[in-house]
Amino acid sequence: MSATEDRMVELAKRHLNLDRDLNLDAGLADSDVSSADAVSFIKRCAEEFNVAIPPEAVRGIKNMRDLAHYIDARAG
Amino acid sequence: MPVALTPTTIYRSDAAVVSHVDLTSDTGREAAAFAWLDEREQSRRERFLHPRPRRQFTLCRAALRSALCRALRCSNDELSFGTSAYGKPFALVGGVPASTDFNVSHSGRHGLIAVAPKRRIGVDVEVRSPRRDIDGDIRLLFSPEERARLNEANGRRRLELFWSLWTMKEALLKALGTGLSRDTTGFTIPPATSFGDGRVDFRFPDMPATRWQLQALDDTRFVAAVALEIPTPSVPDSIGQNEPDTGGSGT
Ligand SMILES: CC(C)(COP(=O)(O)OP(=O)(O)OC[C@H]1O[C@@H](n2cnc3c(N)ncnc32)[C@H](O)[C@@H]1OP(=O)(O)O)[C@@H](O)C(=O)NCCC(=O)NCCS
Repeated sequence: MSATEDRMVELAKRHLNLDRDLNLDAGLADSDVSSADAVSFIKRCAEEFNVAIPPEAVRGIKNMRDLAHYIDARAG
Repeated sequence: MPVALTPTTIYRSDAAVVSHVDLTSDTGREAAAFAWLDEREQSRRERFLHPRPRRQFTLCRAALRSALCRALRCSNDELSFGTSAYGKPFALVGGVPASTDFNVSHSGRHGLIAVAPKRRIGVDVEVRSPRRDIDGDIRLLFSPEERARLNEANGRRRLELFWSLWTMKEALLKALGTGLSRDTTGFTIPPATSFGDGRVDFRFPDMPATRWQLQALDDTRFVAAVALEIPTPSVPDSIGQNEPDTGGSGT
């Protein structure tokens, strides 16, 4: 797991009501996460990594691994 | 469609019908629902990793097929689905796009199906799950005016208002077809007080020509809202129309 993925898993543990470990290859909806949780989680990741994730980009982010790649490609 | 899968109507107007689908775990109902899905939907079902989203999709999609077969007077075999550029599904009968719009939402044991001939419609349902960090969520998800309203409320009332505003926002974005590819902090749900029955008129700030009617559908089991386009004589704003994706059909 990359350092970004590790930090995302930590954030997910703090903020998402998951009754199992986060599966990085699953979409948030497939992980039984509500849309409100999904959007606030993506925004929290943006703040944590100091990266802008505009709403238009959310459509292309299918799962947590995509989100980690998106962040890694833009983080300073 | 087996009687056990038949949705129950919870809202009806001249322009739209919203029905509730029971998504409680039940192997028999799921098997009956599975048989109603086409091959693409059956293989999509297999790709879900967790039982609850898998069950929600299967039961809701079968009930949606039943509702659309009735609304479009077609057989289940004739019905298929495509997706718009932003992922909103639309119905095809014999491969031809139907003019009836629909939308579905699921949360916990509850599914809602909204159907509207000739108008755009969106629906959202959420069970009242508590928030771990409601202050943080309010800051991240809502417009400044909504935040002020939420911050004036306390305890249960605050949580209720949170889900009420969120379901209205999501119903609008689903009616528009963009889903969450549009910023939820960039528009404000007006207070419902002027109507007193949870019904409000709404316009997106950047699409003033298109009017939407928002209707709360909350009950003791869930918070929910439906957004329905109000026809206007002028040409509607073009953003978010359900143009088919170049990819064509979807599930
Ligand atoms: C589509 C979306 C609005 C659904 O919100 P949700 O609260 O999770 O789910 P709901 O139960 O309310 O609605 C799901 C239904 O909305 C419909 N839907 C999907 N995309 C839609 C869109 N752009 N507009 C309207 N409806 C849409 C589908 O019918 C779906 O049900 P089905 O797949 O069983 O047919 C929202 O998840 C979204 O915009 N997602 C895209 C981006 C994303 O999820 N990224 C993951 C990042 S990790």
